[in-house]
Amino acid sequence: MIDTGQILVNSLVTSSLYLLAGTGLTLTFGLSRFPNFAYAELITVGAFCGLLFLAQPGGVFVLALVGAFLVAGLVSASSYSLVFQPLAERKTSLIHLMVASIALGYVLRHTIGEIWGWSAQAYQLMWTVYTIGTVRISSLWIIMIATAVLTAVVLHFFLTRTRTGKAIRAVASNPELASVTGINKQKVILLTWFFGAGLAAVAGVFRAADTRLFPMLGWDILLPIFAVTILGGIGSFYGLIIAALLLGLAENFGVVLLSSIGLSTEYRMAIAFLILITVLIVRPKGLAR
Amino acid sequence: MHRKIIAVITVLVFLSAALVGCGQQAAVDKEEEVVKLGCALSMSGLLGPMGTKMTDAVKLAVEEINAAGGINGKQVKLYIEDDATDPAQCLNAVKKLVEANGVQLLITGMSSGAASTIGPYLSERGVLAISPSATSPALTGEPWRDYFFRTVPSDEYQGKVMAQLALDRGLERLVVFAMDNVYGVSLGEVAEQALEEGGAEVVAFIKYDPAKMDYRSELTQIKSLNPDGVIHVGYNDDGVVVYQQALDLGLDTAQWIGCDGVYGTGLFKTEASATFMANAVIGTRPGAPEGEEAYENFVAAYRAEYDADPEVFCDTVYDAVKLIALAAEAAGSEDPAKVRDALLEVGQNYQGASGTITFDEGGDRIGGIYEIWDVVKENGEFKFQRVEKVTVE
Repeated sequence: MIDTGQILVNSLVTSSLYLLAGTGLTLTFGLSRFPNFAYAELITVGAFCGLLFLAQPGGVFVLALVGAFLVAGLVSASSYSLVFQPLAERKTSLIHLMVASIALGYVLRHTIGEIWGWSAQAYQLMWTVYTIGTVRISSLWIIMIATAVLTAVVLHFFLTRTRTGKAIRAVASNPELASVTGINKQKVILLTWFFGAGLAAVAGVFRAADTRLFPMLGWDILLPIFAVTILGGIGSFYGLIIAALLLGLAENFGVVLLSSIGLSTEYRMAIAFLILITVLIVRPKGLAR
Repeated sequence: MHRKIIAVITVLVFLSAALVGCGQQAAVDKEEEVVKLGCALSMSGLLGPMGTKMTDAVKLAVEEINAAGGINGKQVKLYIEDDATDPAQCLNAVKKLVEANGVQLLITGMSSGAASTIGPYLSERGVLAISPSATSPALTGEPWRDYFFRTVPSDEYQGKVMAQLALDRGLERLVVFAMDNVYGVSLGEVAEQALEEGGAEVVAFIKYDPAKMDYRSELTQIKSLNPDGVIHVGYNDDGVVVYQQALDLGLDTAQWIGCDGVYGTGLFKTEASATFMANAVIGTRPGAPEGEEAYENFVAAYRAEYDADPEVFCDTVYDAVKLIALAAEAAGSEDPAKVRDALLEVGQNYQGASGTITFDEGGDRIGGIYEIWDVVKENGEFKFQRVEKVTVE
């Protein structure tokens, strides 16, 4: 017996997290051409900023989201100008950039650990639960799904209708040609790092509100986020939307399958990766590229 | 020329030999002065909050032993490591203690996973360890148990108490929901077996990833099965998330039966989790022998030292240290093999803080005291409350 409606809602919650967290990664990956492992910590930074803003007098959830967005955006943009841009200018290889990002991630993670400690904390928020038929949905899950949908719609128009959005796509698809046409490549990259990290921070706040927060929060979900990014096709926002939906559904319906045959639901990620591998064999560049 | 060189070399050789000799002499002297005790519990990670308090209890026991004259006339030196709630890290910590610090008596193996990881190494190196909290029934009878004891009863007992609790409440259709590690699965399996023997039906056994923190679909499946009871084995950290998501999904209509892993103030970190527990969760945990002299003395000493109440496994870890000291005294030696033999002697009807400890031949504690708990909300504060105490022989 399956409560399909509920599982669909559950899948959407999972997908929303992946979409919000994956957007920044896929866009920066597409522009800067290296996997930024410190991205996990931007999610964590967001979660802890949320804690900080919620603790302020009059701290409401929206404030936590906005505050986290801005702080993580600044951390990300400065990490780009201070660490990755100088390295990239010296023509360092992908491996060097990747290792530098791992190092930066460690610094950020342990700084967070030193400030807030390593034991789990939680936002003191209560959510209203609505019942529609057999399906139950909490106000947090509604906000999560709505934010993800809104982000998708806004980004679609941003990338197709605005100069900056078009510039981002141009730099991603052909950096040299984009420079020739007078696009300020560095400015575009910096802006993408800022907004991408902002969205990651929003995902971090949601993850913290939905579960709890500790310095490993981002690192724990980095693997599925890389998976959706790669499944969607690196740099492709539309591919990411499909990939996030696909993995959300695969994981949650996977749980139904696994629990009914008596296997540990830990294998839900294995199902997700099986899909990833199959897709990559057929379409090596991901769904949308 | 050659003579000069030879002379210089000879002098150097003598000098270095003398220096090395001094070093060795100093090291031997120092080693004879103290008895080294290693402690590798989890001071960070999932079990961090619990392990930190337990380490405090170890320090307390060592202080008391030293104040009373030490072991065999020597002071105890404590070496503390953190295994970060990671079995692999525990093995590293134990190896460091044994190889680098020269420790041969250990308090470690906080989780069952850690215990089964370090067990073969301990046995091979002939190093003695006592675990205060590895409860998995799967550890019983392992070939490496010759150097591994535990002052906590096997979950063989707790699983039966959980099942009996369900049967006593008239629950007939149950789901076992257990974290996928040695502790979770083996406790879940004992409960499942005892439930079926008692005539109840276990409609599903769902194992989950304690780090995933997204349990909506597992819980939805449980809800679809419409059981009247859920046996849940988890820790504080995942428990919080399981319970708040279970509240959102309206799973508080079933009776949940938890265990020692989901006992602790960590579960009250969110209002949602605490509310769910007050609505639907009762559970078991190893009990303390309140009223008995050894226990009350321990609690008083712990409070005096740390200005806080001891929590779960503080008493068993305190007893573990005291038993090692007692066994080493009885053996008149700190040699692990001799201490082990003596441990089987002194560990018979030993009146410890955690009650009467008797080891069987395999280093397991026989029998146990369990507490049945529930959660109540009083004056806006959530708290655990004891329902009754059960002694299992």
